[in-house]
Amino acid sequence: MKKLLALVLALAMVFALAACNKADSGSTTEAAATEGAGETKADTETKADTQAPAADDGNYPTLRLNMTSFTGEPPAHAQEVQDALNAKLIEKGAGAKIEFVWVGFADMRTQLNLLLTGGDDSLDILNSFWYAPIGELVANGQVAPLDDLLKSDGQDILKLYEPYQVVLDCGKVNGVMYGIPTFTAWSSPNIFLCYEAEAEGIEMKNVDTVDQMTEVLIKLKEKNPDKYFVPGATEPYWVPKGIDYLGDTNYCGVLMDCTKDTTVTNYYESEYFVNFLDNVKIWKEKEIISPDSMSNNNPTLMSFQNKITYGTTGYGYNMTNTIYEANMSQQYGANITGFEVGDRLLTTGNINTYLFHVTSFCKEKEAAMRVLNLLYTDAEIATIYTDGVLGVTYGINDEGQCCYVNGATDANSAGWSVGYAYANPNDFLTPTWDYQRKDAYELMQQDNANAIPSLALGFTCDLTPVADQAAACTNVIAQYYNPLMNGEVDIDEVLPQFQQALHDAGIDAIIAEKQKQLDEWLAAKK
Amino acid sequence: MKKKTTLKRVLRFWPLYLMLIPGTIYLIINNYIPLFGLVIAFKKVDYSVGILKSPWAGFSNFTYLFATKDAWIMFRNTIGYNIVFIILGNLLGLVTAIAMDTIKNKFFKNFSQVVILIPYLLSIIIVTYVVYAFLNPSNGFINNSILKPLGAKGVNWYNVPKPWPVILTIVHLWMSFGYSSILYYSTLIGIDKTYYEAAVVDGAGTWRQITHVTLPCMKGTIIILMILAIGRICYSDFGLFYQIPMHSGLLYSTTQTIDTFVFRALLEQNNIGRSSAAGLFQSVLGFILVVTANTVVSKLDKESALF
Repeated sequence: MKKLLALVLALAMVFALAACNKADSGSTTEAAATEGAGETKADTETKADTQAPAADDGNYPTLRLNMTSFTGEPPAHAQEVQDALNAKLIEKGAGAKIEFVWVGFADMRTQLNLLLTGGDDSLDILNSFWYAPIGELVANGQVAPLDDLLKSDGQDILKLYEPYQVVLDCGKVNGVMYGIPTFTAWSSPNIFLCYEAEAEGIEMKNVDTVDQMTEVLIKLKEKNPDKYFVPGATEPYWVPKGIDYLGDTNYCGVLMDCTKDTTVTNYYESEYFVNFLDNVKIWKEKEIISPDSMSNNNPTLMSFQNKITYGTTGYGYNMTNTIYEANMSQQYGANITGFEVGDRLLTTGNINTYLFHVTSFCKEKEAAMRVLNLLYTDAEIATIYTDGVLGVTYGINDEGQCCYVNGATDANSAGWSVGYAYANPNDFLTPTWDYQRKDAYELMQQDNANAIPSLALGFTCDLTPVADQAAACTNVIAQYYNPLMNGEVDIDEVLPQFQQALHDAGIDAIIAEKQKQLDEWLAAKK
Repeated sequence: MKKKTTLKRVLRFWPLYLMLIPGTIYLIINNYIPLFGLVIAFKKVDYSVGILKSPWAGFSNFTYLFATKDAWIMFRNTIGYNIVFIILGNLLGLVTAIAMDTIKNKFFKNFSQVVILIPYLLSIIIVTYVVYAFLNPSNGFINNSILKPLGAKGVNWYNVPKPWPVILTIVHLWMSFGYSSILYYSTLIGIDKTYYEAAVVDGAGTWRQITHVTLPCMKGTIIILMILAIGRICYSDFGLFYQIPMHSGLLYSTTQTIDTFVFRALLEQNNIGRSSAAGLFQSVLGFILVVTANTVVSKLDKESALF
């Protein structure tokens, strides 16, 4: 009897464990794939596909690469694009295939966290755009050092970046390369956009300061008394692109005059910020900024598109091309116009927003680098990655530009996220689209050449030593920043409180730490 | 000798023990094996080498919780709100349950049970907008339909921290009283009706019946629910404190709790060590409080104590 009981117990245990194990791996696969069940299917198909040819033409490893899908579902032609890309990769000697892992935009962070904790489901190649800053990926040990890999299998990338060594250096943390910046437009000054009809008769030319922008805003308001031109919202409508904020979107410790001075200072006590808020006061008083900011959680361009406001501040790459594209595709329902505000700077923060990495879980790191090497430097492969399969997801018109085919009208109906994107490895190798200027990419490359590099270009700071203060400051900024920027509070009264709260939270320690690291970096550079 | 009797007992009731197995296994797998994860709170996690090989971090993952002078605000808010919620929530639930028991019309009784349960089932996002419809500064119900006709000036609710303890308490009670009253009601209908008959024979009115029959019979449930609630006193309803104030920074002095602080502090840092540290800290405090509360209860009345 006793033996029987023991047996039953043991059996029950085994079954329960097995069941649990099974359920576990099941849920991870599902999590690893995008939210939809359709993806899991695509996944298994891929596996079957890659295993079959592997038997006859050598045993190619399959590398997993994350792709972002806004809807959560992979695009309709994802499988065809993947097959085409793999055929080309093999043909060009990458010696590896890739498998797209579709991650829904809405829960991207969670999905990628799961895909970057080790284990068989891990990613091999990571596009970290929208996910996490490079410093964090390095601190968590999620990405692999690339210096040796670049030398052995990524020589074309090194050649591509030869004239822009300092840009490539933006993927370094503590002198070690961990990410490769995408080859794209690297600078994005502040801009102001508004509808052409509302701006009729008002001069729209590039200005240097926020004060000058306010003068234009006042004219716009006088002409259109019942319309707003700055979107007050829970999403920030202004990122100070005229300063180097050292990749820290909380702006704790920035270089205010980064082409001349390498002193890290407190942004929130700078003349620039105080003056900006003086402008906000004017916008509030004259009702230029939209009210009810608390209930508007649209990003700036959505507020603009939905006509909550008839103008918006922001930042953009090339004004000429932005306006051309928007008017060609009638993205905003009417013609728009606009101007740039302030200098066009080249800063680490702009560049290392878009990085590709080889993860530390990748077992075939050389193969991963060979794949990246082709994605960055081979026109055919870059075009498949960007525009998909000719005749299926895009066509080429008489002018040699890409156009939609098969009745598609946008990227969604085209079945692939076609078209130029800053997060793609190298879209300058691909043809332009019919809604773009033919010289769009030349314009962007000109901008790259004309942008003024910050003295700290290539420097990435590591906030781990002051993580407590950073956490505290993040909370203080979450508390005060938006109400101040949206003019929801009495600025004269709240700004000093905000500044004091930041001191209490330890902003000075963060500034000192950044200064220390920057000085060390500058000394090492010499 | 003793061992043998235990074994005999086990063998005698073996079908019962067999039935116990799945639950026990579930408990072990779901509740005990993950306890291993607590180690993360003391590690600087490096995914490339795994949790066990990651370097130890001592208590450094905990320090950020106490880094600012304002840290006490979130502790005060978390515990203060919970005390108010426990007292008022249980009181309201109890009163509602007793009131529901006195309803004689069966249809109306069922109807009211469903109606008071609805807020509990609503998504917090919907509740947020219900509250927003009341409090919107320019066209909300309170400013527009109550204060304006009275000639009072509208209040910019999302900018003034002072009224929020009251607002959040009302919202919480509105959301939760249906659920807690049903818990009480289920105990209430289990009370032997002959007690009431005896009380009526002895000349007790409704009030006397409540104080002398209903409440003493419900004492056990009340205490258990209280002790369980105390165990979660360091946790806050994240949705309530994060969504309902519409993330308005100006309200932090009355709406910031440990959970919202941790969420905001770590949103930009993918640091599981620190989030585990916060969770562990909350659990340990909760555990201490439960044991303390239970000891106090068992000192006062051994029968009602949880363990």
